[in-house]
Amino acid sequence: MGGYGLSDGVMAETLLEHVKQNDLPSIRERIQAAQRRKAESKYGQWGVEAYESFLIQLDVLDNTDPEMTLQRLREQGLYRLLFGKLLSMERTEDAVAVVTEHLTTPYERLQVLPTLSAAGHDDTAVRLAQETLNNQFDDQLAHWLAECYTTRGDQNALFDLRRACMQHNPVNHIMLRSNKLPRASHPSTRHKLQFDLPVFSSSAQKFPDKSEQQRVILQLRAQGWSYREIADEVGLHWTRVGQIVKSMRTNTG
Amino acid sequence: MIYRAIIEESLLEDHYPVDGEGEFVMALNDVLEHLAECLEQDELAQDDTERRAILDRLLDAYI
Repeated sequence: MGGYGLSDGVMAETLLEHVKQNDLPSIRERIQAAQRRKAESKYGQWGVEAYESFLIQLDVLDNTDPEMTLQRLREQGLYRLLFGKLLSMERTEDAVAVVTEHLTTPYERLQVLPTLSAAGHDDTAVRLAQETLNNQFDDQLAHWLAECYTTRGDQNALFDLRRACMQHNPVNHIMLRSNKLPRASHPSTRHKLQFDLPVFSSSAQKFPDKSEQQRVILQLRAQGWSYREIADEVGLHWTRVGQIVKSMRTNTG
Repeated sequence: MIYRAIIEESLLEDHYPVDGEGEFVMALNDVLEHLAECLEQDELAQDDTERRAILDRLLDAYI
């Protein structure tokens, strides 16, 4: 049957590590067939992209001309992958052009800008995020941009962003408050409440103490939360939540 | 061999519907991880037939 997205965690690494050159044609054929099936299904775009991502790695293994890979990605309109491939080829200008032209929504930008920033193009990533927010405000992208400003120590930009957040979403703006921002370092706004809410970028930050994390997971589970709901709450993948619940049950008999 | 057999059986069409909480899928993922670890053993990694059989089962699950 397959198609569950099973073995996502091990497939690429295992295959690429143990595959031999003469295995490649048949593997490629099977992946392409699966990709075609996904393309025909109503919600199959994620699958098309996942399989294409794998094919890109096969291309590298069998020395396919990178231009052919790029062409294939363009033809399929897989611009996030096209961006990634161009960036890996150090064709930054082309990669940024793809973002500017094709990846224009806040969601799409949030998928690529952290990668662009991590590749050493922080200024460009920040500029693109600012442009996007000016056109269409988005909490998630604003949150990422706030983290960038905090890292840079750009408190003026952070203040402006927080004010924009308040205007767009008066309730949730407190989530953008950086715990590094000194109190009273900016002019007062109409919002007087100050909340010391840390900005969590990972589960490890939110739960430095693993036993506390496990306690919370078990507590929520006991309250009837699903694995997926707990996963959203604690910042883990739902399968990991399931493993923790099972392991705790086993350990406590 | 046992891991491969579990995967072959589990992937049969309509035999095992995916449960809401994903426990079946998680268990299957565990098996896949163990199967992938088998390739770390030199004797299996060097045996082309065995190696390919393992890769094929992983691929079955992936697609």
